[in-house]
Amino acid sequence: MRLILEKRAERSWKMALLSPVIAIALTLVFGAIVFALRGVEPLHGLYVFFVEPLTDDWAREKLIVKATPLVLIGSGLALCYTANIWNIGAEGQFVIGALAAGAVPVLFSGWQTPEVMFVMLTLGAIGGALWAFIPAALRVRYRANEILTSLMLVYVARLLFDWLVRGAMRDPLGLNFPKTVKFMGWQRLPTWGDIHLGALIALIAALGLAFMMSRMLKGFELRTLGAAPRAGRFAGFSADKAVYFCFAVSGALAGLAGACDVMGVGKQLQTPYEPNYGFVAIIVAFLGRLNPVGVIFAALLLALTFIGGEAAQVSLGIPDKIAKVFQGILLFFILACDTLILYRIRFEGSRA
Amino acid sequence: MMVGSDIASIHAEKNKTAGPVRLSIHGLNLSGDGAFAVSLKNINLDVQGGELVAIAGVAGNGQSEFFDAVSGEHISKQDSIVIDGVACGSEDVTKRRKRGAAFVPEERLGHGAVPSFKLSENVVLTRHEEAPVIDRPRAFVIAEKVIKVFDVRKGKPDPEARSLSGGNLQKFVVGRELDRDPKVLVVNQPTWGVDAGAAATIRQALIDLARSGAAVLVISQDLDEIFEIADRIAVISRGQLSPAVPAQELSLEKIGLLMAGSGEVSHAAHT
Repeated sequence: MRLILEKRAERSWKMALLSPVIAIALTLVFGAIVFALRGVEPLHGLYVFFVEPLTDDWAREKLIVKATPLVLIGSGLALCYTANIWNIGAEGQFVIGALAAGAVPVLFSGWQTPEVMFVMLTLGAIGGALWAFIPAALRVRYRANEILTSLMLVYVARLLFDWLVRGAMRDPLGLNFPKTVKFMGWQRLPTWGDIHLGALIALIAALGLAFMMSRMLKGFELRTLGAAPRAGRFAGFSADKAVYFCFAVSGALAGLAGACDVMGVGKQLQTPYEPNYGFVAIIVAFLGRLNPVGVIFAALLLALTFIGGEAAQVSLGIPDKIAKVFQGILLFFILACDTLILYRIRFEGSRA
Repeated sequence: MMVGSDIASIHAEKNKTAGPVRLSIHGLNLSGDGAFAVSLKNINLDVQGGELVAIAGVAGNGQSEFFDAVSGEHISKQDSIVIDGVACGSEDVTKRRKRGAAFVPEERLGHGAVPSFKLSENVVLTRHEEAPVIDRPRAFVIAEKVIKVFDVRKGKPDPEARSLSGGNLQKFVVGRELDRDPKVLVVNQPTWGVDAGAAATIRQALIDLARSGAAVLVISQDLDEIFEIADRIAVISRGQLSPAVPAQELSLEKIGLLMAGSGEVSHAAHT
């Protein structure tokens, strides 16, 4: 029997929605196998990983807290990937955003009026956008591959963060711990339980970008350039400007996510700071069908893998690296299942 | 031949209706980028309202570079392209469209239309006019109109461009531009890879547009097509354009010689 991939005449609209569901199902099957190999009863393992965290309020709040940066970064990345522009370095832009926001309390620890919150958030966004500007400019000016440059700048950003927080930005009264001063007053984001203002900002950003992508000329431009660059030029759109635009927006959102994370969760900078939101957001963008509204749901699912990983470590004695396994497998299956959108599978029996 | 005499009568009619120059190309030079690109050398051409000028030539002699320069996908010196009296050589394609020009490129899929976009979205491609928010109902109405007027055959109401046959998509891409009532229309290979029925529809539409007072410039490799529709004919060879000559004064043999490059010699001798 042969398995044949047959090209469809059009994108299958049904499969576009169904393929992430199939991918999630396959991931669960694969996860069950991993649990079984570790000697854990598979269904119990999946229950602890994916269901139990949803059963109490504390974990549900935690879920939204984890999903917040994923939504912010993921919706920006969805924009880039739609336009065929590959910003892989959101993690670096995230770290620089955190650093830029954190510089304010370090320099002006007494400034705790509401304005400081806006200044810090703005600086975070600008920091992330400037960091993203580097690969954008390298691509436009020198045709350097932005996948490599943006990714490599993640490590530069992390080292810069580490150097500053251990050095110039360290709390002088902090007993030599690699931390800055604690953020106080409006240097912190307002919270409801664990959930901070960033969640609301993320929701607004995702909905705004969804509107832009589906209804505004800018979104049309990015979709056109992504699907057919030549047609984009024919429509009068500049591919170079799109590179700057996408990196600026996704960088700013990643930076904003970094600012929100340190202002709403960490409430100070401390090193090492490698939450990996920037990388996981790549999976979020694809699972969300490169649609900012889809990103919201995808971010909640991926946030669950973070929390599930912690739960698995605590109650099953499995390393929380299992979360990364799930994330990686999920991305693998999503990309594989996307084949079904343009192709249909047919089995051809060997005819007698 | 019957066909020949029919065309002659069209030409006679044309000479009365020729209007002011609507598309003018002056000393257009463009150095081609890329290994296989052709450089354009001092191209001059005027197209009057009411006439259809065709550019013949063997593929790869600078046709696509010329099209890109006229459409504004490649910008050149400000005064090298004049559309309806306004110099716009350094303007982009959107600004040239706003001056009343319309363009149909050679490649339907991936240049004239985005394969994965629905037809109504492909309307927006050349007709967005830089409005920040897309008017989707308007795009849908235009798509419907083009589909009806040009008899575009399709499987479902608003299909993706790639699901159409070549001829039907070409009718759509040409119709999308004609629907704007352009003052200047530039078409590269209007009936390339198109079935006979669609080709006839498209050629008739191009002639009708010219007769209504627009300047129509057609780049084509198909000599039969050129003799069928053109009032004047120029030949492009190695990035140089021969002077445009009334179609009646040209024979297949003469054009063949020009296409093979003999025009370069006589042209050089002139200047």
